[in-house]
Amino acid sequence: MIAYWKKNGEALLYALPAALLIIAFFITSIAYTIYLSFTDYNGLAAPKWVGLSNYLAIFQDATYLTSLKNTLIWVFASLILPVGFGLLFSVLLQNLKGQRIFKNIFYLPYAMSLTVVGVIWVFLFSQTGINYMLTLLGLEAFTRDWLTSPPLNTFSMIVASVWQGTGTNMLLFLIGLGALPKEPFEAAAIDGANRIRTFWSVTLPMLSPITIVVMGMSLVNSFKIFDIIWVMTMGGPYRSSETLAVTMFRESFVLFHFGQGAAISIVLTIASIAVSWFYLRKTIIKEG
Amino acid sequence: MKRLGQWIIYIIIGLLAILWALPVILVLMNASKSLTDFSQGNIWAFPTTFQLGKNIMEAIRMGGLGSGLLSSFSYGVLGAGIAIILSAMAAFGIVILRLKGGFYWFLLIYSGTIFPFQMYLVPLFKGYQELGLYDTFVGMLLFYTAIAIPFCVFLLRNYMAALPYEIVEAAQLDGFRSFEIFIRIIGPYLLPPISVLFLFQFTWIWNDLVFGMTLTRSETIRPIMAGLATMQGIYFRSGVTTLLAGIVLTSLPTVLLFFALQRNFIKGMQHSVKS
Repeated sequence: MIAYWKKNGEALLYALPAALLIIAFFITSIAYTIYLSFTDYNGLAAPKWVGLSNYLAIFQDATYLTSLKNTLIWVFASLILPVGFGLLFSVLLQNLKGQRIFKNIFYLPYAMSLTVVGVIWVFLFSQTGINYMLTLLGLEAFTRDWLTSPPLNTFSMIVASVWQGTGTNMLLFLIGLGALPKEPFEAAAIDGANRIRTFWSVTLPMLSPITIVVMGMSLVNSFKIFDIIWVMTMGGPYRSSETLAVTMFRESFVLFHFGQGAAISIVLTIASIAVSWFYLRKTIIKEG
Repeated sequence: MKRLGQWIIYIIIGLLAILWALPVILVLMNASKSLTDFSQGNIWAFPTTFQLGKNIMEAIRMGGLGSGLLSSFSYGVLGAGIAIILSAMAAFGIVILRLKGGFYWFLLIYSGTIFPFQMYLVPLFKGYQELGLYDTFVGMLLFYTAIAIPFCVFLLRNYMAALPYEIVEAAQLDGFRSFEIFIRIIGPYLLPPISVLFLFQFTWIWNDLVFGMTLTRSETIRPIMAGLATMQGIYFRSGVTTLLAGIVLTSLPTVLLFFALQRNFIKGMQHSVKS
């Protein structure tokens, strides 16, 4: 200990302020949340140990099961839609004249916050919005209560999130496309392969490293989706559109079931770390 | 044949672009209407009045967005700034001064990005109440600084590891002390990644909703997005045009920042993807 300090004291002094802040804010928080998850803490009485019952409730209570199901819908949709659209946009835009303008248009929503995006889409889904336009076009049969009827409300919010998140994936794919070697494409052209064929058998396989990264980022973010839902439906009506992150917030700060909220955070953590393991492995382990 | 293919692509991408731009256009159109103009028509009708400026002023005064803007701007600039300085120091200690076991120190700091934020909400809320930091400017600033550190350390550590170590050795031979090496030798190299980090972290802090909601209560401390979410609940029925003007106003800084510094943003992305 003393020897370590003598040899590294100076270097340690530089690292310490950042490290101490992290320990104070986050490491201790993690420990406290783990502890709370085994208690019935409600903010008033002292926490009482309840074992695994908070965890068991997540897989038994209908409200939490709906929340789990919605989270899976979000994760699945986020894995397919923003990534797929991002890829499509980037391939269409590659080597296209006027690329810059289109790129900026698709990216613009990403420069706004999720809160703002939520407010915008509440406005669009209101009665004078999309429903009005549908009626005007004679498509009255397609008007819906976009945000108040489950499970449609979850899909409506996914539309908002796709609108926001596609642009950044497009940029990442464009970077990836720009870094690909030219030869395989020339070879494909000589062989007479058309655009679609070239895409499936040359572009897509060569892009797969970056596709994995983009999907990983999309996945990690979708588990924690909160802002859009809180702004658009607050998880309602009747807690029908909650995801785990929203359920955690409601349990903790509306109902003061801090123990239950903590257990949900832990499940969220385990799920997101487990599923994103392949992605994390790429970023951390490689360096160690 | 090739020509035709080009045209088809332009048509597809053009339609998609219109679809993508439409929500923003509708927001701008309706944020410019007077409330009577809005309530007589529908969101698709062109404005017959043009009063975006007046609506924005209304959002600042009535909606209480003014103090939120000021708070978030301070949190963003100071939080990102302090976090970058502390992170650069940490990365310097770990990489340049070769802190023994530095990789574990790095992992400790970086672990802050691995866990979902839900893990931190309740302990911070409780701890802040105990320590009297709840609903204070200092409390919010400390939190935003702390949350920005892991990613800054991650990027700066990669960046410093790629610098030629000879420059450090040369400086040591010349009798430079570590602090001088940090400021005068390494510092100038860090400007490009620092500008990227500042952009990312300022944007993150500006856009934060959940911690603002959890750790503050009063209008003067509350950051902008939490203020906007509160305003939405009140204004959606009675003052949509004001609310939409508020959206335009609160998005302006991050949108402008992005388009002004687009190159750096993309470079930053390349950097984080590569590593």
